[in-house]
Amino acid sequence: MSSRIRKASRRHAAEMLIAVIAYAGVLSACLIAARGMAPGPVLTLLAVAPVLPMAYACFAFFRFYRSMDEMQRRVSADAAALTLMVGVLAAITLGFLKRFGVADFEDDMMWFGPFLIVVWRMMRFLLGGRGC
Amino acid sequence: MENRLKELRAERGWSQADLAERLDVSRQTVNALERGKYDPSLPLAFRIARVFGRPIEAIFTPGQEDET
Repeated sequence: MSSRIRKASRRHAAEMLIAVIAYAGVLSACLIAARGMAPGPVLTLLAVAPVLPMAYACFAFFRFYRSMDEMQRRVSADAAALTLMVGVLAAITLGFLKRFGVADFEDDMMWFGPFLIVVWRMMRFLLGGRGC
Repeated sequence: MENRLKELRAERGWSQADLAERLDVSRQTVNALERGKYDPSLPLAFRIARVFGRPIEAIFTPGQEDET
């Protein structure tokens, strides 16, 4: 691995760690602060606040993506295309299950994003191997 | 596409990591290039040619499926 890519990987790992810690902290704080609060602007702000660390993670990932070499970038893009297909199929499936009254996943939709990240990582591993 | 990357690298006594550093790519990419699993873009092919001091056509040749 070139020293530039190695440096970018290290920075990406550090930024992701910061994002995850910030997400856990902000989410916990918001859940505690929102307890018993009536709907209104403050509750809305508390509800969307955990998105901020995730937005930071997205920004960090995009910067990392730009620093990858061309093969890593292609593998990541192919994995993203496959993940999109899985995501669309999963969303349609969940929609049908809800429509037919089999199951209601509305409360669990916050896990859909992390689910897609896991799927993307698996696709990336399958397409490019461990070090890609 | 076929290439002589492994042979040229061996001539110089470079490891895959050495070549990766010179080309500014990951070692996995060098490995994929050598095994013919990945065909480089034109800019990367030019970089490879420059690193080995040879013309592109002396390093890369069309494979059988590229000629059909």
